[in-house]
Amino acid sequence: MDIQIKRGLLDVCVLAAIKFEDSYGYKIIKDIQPYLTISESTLYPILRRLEAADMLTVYSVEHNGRLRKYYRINEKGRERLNEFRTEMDELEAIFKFVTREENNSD
Amino acid sequence: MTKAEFMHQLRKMTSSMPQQEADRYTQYYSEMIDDAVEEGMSEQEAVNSLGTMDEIEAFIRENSTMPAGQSFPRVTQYVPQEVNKKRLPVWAIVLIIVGFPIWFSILCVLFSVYISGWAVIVSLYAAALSVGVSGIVVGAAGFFIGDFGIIMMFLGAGLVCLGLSVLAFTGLIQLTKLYVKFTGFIVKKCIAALRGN
Repeated sequence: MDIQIKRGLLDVCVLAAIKFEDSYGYKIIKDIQPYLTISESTLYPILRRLEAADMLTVYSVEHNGRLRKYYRINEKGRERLNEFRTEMDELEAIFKFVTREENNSD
Repeated sequence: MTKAEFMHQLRKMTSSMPQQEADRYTQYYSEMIDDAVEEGMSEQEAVNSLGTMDEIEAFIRENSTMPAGQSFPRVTQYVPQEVNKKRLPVWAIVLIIVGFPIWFSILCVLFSVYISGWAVIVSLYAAALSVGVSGIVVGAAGFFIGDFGIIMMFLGAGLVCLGLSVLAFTGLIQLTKLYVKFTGFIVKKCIAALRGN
C-alpha cells in the first residue's frame, strides 16, 4: 500500500481502536494488526502526532506495580473519524473514476 | 538481548534529545516490553519483537522531524477536466488502435442498418408500383371479358388500386426526403468528429 495512504489510515485506525474505550499501546497494536501492519516503533510517532493535534489525551494508570499509559479519544479525534467517512465516499467516487471502462463511457 | 540491555542502548540513542522527550521514548518501549511479557512472551522475545536497534534508531531519527498533527491527506472532489480538443492523448490513440476490432465491427453493423433502411424504402416503392400496375392491368382486363357490368367492376377495382398506389407514392416521397435529410445529418456529424469536434 502507498506509504502516504497507509500513514493516514494508521492515524484513523489508532483513533478507531480507542473510540469505544480507552486503550494502551500494546493493545492498540494487537487490535489494528489484523487490518494493517503496525509495529511498536510506528505506533509511537502516531500517538505523539495525535496527541499534539489534540485528537487524544494521554494519562497514566498504575498497573502491576508499574505505570501504563492509556489513550482517550477527544472530540477532535471523533470529528476526524466522521471526516474519514465522507473521505471514503469521495475515495469511492475516485475509485470508480480510476477503474472505469472505456466502453461504458462511450 | 535482555530488557535492561535494550533500555541501556535506547537511553544512549536518545541522549541527544531533550530530557522529557527521551524519557517518553524509554517509558514507551519499557511499557511495550512489560505488556508483551505479561501476555506470555519471554523477555528475550518481547525485546526482539520490537525490531533491531538500527531499525528503532532509524524510526526515531525519521520521526523526530515529522510535523505535528499531520493527518490523512485530504481527498478532493473529482471535477471533470475539459479535455484538450485538438490533440488526442496517447492513451486514447492506443485505445483506438487496440479497440479497432470492436469499434470497426460496430461501425459495419450501423452502416448495414442504414443500407437496409434504403432497401426497405426501395421495396415499398416496388410494392406501390406493383399495386398501380395491377390496377391498370385489372382495369384493361375488364374490356376483354366483354360484359358491361364486369367492365365497370374491373375498371372500378383498377381505379381503386391506381388511387392507392398514387397515395402510397406521395407518402413514400416524403419518407425518402426524410431519409436523405437524415443521411446529410449523419455525414455532417461524422465530418465534424473527424475534424476533431
